[in-house]
Amino acid sequence: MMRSRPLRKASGNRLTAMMQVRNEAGRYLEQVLEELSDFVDEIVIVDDGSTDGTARLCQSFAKVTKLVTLESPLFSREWELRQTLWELALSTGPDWLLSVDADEFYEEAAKREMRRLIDQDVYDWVGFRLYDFWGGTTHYREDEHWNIHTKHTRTLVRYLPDFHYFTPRMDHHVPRLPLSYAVLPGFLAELRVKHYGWALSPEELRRKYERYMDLDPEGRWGSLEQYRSILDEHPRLVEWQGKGNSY
Amino acid sequence: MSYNAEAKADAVSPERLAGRYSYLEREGLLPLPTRDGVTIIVELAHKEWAEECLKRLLLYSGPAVRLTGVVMKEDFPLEPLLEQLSAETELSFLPYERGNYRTNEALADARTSFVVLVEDRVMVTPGWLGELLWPAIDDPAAYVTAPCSAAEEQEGRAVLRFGNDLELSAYVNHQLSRFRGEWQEVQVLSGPCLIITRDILQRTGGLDASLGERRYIIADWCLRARQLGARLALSSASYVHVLQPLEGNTGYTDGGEQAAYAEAGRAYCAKWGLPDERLGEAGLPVPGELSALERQPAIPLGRTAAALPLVTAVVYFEDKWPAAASMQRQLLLQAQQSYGNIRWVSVRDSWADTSPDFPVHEQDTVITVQGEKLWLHALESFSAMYQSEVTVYLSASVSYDSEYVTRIVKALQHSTAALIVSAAPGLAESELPSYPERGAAAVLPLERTAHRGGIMPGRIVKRESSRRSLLLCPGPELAVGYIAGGPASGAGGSVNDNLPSDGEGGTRK
Amino acid sequence: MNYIIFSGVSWEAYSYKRLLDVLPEREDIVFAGTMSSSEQAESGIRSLSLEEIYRLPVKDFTVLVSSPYWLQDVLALSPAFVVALLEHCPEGEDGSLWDKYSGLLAAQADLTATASERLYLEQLLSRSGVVYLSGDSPLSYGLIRRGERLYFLADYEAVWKRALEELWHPQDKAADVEPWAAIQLRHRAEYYLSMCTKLPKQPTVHYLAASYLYLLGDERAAQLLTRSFELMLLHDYTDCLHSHYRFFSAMEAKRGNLELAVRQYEITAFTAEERAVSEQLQHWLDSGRRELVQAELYRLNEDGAAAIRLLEGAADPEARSLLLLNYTDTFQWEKALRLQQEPENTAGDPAAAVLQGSGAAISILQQIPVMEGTLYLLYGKRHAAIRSFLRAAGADQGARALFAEMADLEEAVGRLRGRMADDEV
Repeated sequence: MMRSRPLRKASGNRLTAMMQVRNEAGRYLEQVLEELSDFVDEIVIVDDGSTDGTARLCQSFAKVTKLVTLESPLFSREWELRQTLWELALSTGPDWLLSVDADEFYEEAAKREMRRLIDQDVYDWVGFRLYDFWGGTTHYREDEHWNIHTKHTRTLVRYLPDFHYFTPRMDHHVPRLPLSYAVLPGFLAELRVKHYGWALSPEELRRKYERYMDLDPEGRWGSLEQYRSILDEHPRLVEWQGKGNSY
Repeated sequence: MSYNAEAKADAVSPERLAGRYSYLEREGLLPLPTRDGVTIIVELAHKEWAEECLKRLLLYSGPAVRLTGVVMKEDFPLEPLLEQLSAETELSFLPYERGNYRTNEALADARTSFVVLVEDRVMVTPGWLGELLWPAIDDPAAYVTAPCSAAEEQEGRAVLRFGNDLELSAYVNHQLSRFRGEWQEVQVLSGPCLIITRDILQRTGGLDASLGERRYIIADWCLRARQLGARLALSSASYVHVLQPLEGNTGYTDGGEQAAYAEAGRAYCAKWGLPDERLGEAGLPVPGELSALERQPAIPLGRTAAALPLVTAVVYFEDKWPAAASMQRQLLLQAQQSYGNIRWVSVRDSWADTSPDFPVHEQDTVITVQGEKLWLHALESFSAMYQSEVTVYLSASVSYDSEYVTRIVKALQHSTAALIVSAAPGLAESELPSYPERGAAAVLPLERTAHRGGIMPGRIVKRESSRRSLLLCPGPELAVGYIAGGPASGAGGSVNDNLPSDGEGGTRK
Repeated sequence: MNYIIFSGVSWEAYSYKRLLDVLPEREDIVFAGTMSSSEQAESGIRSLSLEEIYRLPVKDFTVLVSSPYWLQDVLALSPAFVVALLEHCPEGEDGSLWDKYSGLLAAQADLTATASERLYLEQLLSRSGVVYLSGDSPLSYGLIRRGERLYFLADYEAVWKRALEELWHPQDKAADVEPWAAIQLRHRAEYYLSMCTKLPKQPTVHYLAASYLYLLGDERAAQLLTRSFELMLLHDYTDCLHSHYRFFSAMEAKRGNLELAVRQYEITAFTAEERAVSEQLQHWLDSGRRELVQAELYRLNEDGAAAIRLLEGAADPEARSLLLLNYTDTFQWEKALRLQQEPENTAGDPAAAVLQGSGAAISILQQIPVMEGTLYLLYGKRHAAIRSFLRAAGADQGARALFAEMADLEEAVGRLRGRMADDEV
């Protein structure tokens, strides 16, 4: 009799990237999609009501197999946005999912390792070290409020049908992947991801600060001190060192 | 010595009076504040607790108390209680009767000025009753009193754990000594113990059994009493311990019980104009402005005429009867039976029987068919045509004693049988099968058979050889029960002697 | 009915006195040990020495045992009924020895009872006939009269009474009465459901509600387990894959959704053994041997009782080796040995050797002589026990451990009897 496929494949795993975007044209999106196209098999995207050429940009990449454009933005309903993206990703019948933001770049070593990370049947997720680049693409910030790289961030997960996926319903800072993965075995990789979301000019940083204060003036979803630290004139920055001869 | 008319009539201080009164009470020297005693009606439904409950009531209620035990469930075993308590003269029982809410009967029969309605899961303690009679005397407008218990509403609800009767008595006495004489007026009572004055009982009438669940039945009665101006009193000083069945409806048990309880709640809300949603709240929903609502119809106390199940007596004429004789025979049969609710139907074959039709009363009927086959078929299909609780077959050629129908009806009420056969008169009870059986009998004599309404009894056939020629072949799935026939003398024999001995129609012995 | 009380502690310290007060049909009641004359007068119980107890017409007695080290005497006496009162290992006793012999006691008993909810749940998963001797309802659910005194029964006391009565008056199966075990489960479930309403963010009360609903076969079990799992995640208690998530597979197995249940189990299977089991389940499923799959899913979720209920009626030949495993796990060793000795089984099924689940590396075949030896020991057949242990051990190392345990047991029994004699007043 036919044996149904094993739950965890140790080889031949497909890697699907999932991303949510909003008005990213002119920023890093194009570069991100180019790099992703090199090391993932498929990309699914939810466009949260972009009003610039973001959607068209996404469509121009062959590996973007699914693009859902939401007419009115859900940006104040982060949970629903995450759910929409998650369900879209699942509809492709994926093996592994990589949750990527439109301003995140995997270092070369990570890109090279990717296949080996997923072609195994021992663990179900991978955590990477995320670095918040500041003011430019050469240095990352490291201080009291900016130290996400001292922990691992789970961005790469194996999809297990029938598992119970739970993402708590919150308005902001909703985890990008279901919390349920925390009970499954995972691998903490010493591989890095560059986040360029804060690699902005001082004016852009200020505008970002103002947007946060608008959305969350009482600091219910995030720390007011951290918001204020966005405006620091002399943040502590560390120069990025590539690995080997890559960046 | 001058007599000062202005002087205070009684120089004894209230405190001293109270002290003397308390002494009398403690020593059990005080009688109950009622001249003609108290009737306690106990609803019997919990076979494991009934005996203990009754014994405690007999022991602790005081003198001049009469008890009536009303069996509320078909499968409640009354015999063991009868055996255990046979010596008690002040105790009587009303056995279960299907379709009859006998509590109202018991209430109707109560002759004393106070009536207590209590469930058999209530455990009382020495001297429990006295305190509960006082509110009706303290305030003539207060007619209905209840003690605190785990099953009473709102302020009356006291959920307490006791290991044994000593602990219970200690608590009860403590409460009594602290709060003696205190009672408060409440909106509704629905608990397992209620003390009513006969006056308000007469005016409010009986309990509305159609509401199904006791909690709603009692609450409804209390609201009706309030509509008539009565007040409900909760005696804070009194407590009775009520037991909870392990299988109780805790909102989780089998769907049937839950559904019945929910249905009862809805019926109660509908009756009192309350929205169903209020059932979800803690506590029983009660209408705010009772006086604004239309007065609810009174429910009569006691046995109502409608409580007598309707019996259809099917009279058939097996032999050829001359017209006058058959009319006479019919009248005689009708007159003889003592049972008060019979619809008489006669089924005749116009081909065999040439007498004219003669319905006697309005609800009586004559059915005439043509030919024997149709005649037999009509006899068989009776229940399909006429709805009644019981159908009794009577042959015009047989004589029946006056209690025949009454006996049959009683038998069907107390049995699970679908068909009842009255044994030949003179046959001893001991020779009859004691339990209804299925499939045991191949044929039954139609003239001594009766069946429950709503079923098809089987095939009716005519057997030429025997005198009593109509036989019933009962459906194999129907249980057949037997009862003793009437007295042996005279009845059951052929009545051909009464027939005029002319050539036409009559048959000779 | 007459009763004999075998306690692990003195009469003074005996913690079930109230339960003795409400024993049904209580006639002669004897305490094994010493009681002062005033204690005897007050309680209506008489004390006897062990020798005197052996001389009683034991067939007319029900024995209430609250220490596993009485098991040998209980077996030797062979009373009408045995009621095991299970407790956690007391201070100063060897935990694993205590737990093992408590398990054996429970397996031998006609009725098992415990005041510990943890032990109650464990036993529910091992056998039927388990009473929980505690409850949260403040109401009275029954009464029992003894002479002058009328006792009002708490919910669990009413269940205790009913459970005992049913030992000597077995319920007619056709009778339309809710079984007492189900009543207790229902009360527990309702209690936890109400706690869930009061503590909506507490994962444990949701888990317990789910457990009782599962035992009742109630559809709501899965919802509550889901909520418990989510709450665990929210609280960051991430070590719950086996305790919480795997439980879903038992629930789905109960509903008959075996394909889903097997996949759910597979999600939790990481060790080599677990993966092997997973494959075996899939293989059985593919060949249509659904009973085996269902039973094994129960066993993997520690619900030996459910597995046994299913397997005892199963036609599949391989059901026997699974049944053997389950009997062993639940300490029903006599049944295990009898099963093993049946002709079809002497070959020993290689599959049985594979299915170990939670870690034990010894195959069932090796366990047999150990179980045999232990039972011999309990039945007072010391020499036979030693022979079996020697057979089991093979190499020296194994034997030492077995004999050490034998010595520990004999010492514990000796201490118990010594305490009994020592309580002179």
